[in-house]
Amino acid sequence: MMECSKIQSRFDDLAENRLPETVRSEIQRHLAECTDCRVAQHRGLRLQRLIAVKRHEQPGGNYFESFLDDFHRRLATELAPRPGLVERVCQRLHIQHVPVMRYGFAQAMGVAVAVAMICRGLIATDWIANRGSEDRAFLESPHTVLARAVPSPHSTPRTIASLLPPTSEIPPAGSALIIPVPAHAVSGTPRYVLDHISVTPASYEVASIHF
Amino acid sequence: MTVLGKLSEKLRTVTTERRSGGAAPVQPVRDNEQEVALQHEEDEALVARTRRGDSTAFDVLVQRYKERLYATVYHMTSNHEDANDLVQDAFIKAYKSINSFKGQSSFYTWIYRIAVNRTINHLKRRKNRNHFSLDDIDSNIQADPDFVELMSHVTPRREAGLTELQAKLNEALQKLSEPHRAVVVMHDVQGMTHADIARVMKCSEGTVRSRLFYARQQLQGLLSDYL
Repeated sequence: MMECSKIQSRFDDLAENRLPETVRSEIQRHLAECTDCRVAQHRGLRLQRLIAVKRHEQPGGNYFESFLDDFHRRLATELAPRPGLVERVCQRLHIQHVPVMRYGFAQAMGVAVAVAMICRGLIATDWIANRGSEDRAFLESPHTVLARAVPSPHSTPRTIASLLPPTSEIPPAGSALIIPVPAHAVSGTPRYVLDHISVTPASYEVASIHF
Repeated sequence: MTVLGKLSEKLRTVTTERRSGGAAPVQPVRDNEQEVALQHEEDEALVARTRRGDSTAFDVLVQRYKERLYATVYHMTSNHEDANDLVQDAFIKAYKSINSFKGQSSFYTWIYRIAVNRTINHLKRRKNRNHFSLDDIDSNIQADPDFVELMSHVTPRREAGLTELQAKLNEALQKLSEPHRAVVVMHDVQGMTHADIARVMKCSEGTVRSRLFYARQQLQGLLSDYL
């Protein structure tokens, strides 16, 4: 015996004679016995009739007569090339001769970029030439700077002492001593200055350094 | 016009031709006899002609299916302007991609699928922003046996009038989910078979039956005053 929901889902097929004879007779047998399904079938048919009323909703006037013309118009618009960003901006600003503007703008952009690059080059050259001797160190290689600022592994204690601040500035025992290293030298190789100092690292107590 | 202007005009023409595949803008001159002959050609032959660049053949296809497509889309949207836009868009899309139409299904199924899918997407986008713009009910309704039968069981509610009935019907349909609405419209309004609907919606006939069953259950609740 088929379930009521299955029976009810076949009402369309039953009405349109699309069911095999065995299924058809089974559904009809079920309908004879089941009041719920009979009511559902009746309500279903009424609902279909009610919805079918919508067929009579029709667009007014000569809508379908002008449909093809509208279609041609839309198709032509659709196939026409879309305006670019510059064209749209020009249209919005009501600027005439848009095609000329399109190429003119590209050329102007190219020239502007070239001029900007040349100016930048000239300014950079002047700036370097006018730099003072202190700033020229900026252009020196990191190795040169480091060689001057940081004692080499073979430096004598005296050499190291010359790099230290004056005696009056030496902090008392127990406090930290920091060997001055130019900020720009830090970024050069070798990265860790203390790796190349054979003496006690600068952050250790001063008292531990014996000359 | 400047030289650059002329060049730009030329470039525009070439681009248009290239984008349209070189087929669209040229409308071959035909006499009446040929046009009548085209009207009787099968869809497949018209599609083949369109592919060869004969846009008049596509016009025949538009004329052939515009009303059925419009009706389906209109009943799904309950809005004349939306239906007009969507059907026009569907035909434009079909024209532009006619070369990708493999012919595995009929042209009718293919264009129907385009229109229904576009409508479902449109409805999903404008979710909860229903705006009715209903078409008029034609005078033939008084001669429709279904309508006469419906009206023979008069109740006070039903005497309210056709306009209210139309509004109620559209309101109830808009409360269904998009796939359910599509199935109800195609079957109960358009009279399409389960098999045709299954082909359009790319699903099984069982799915179509099930959708119809649940949609009708919902509609019975919404339209109980008229049943």
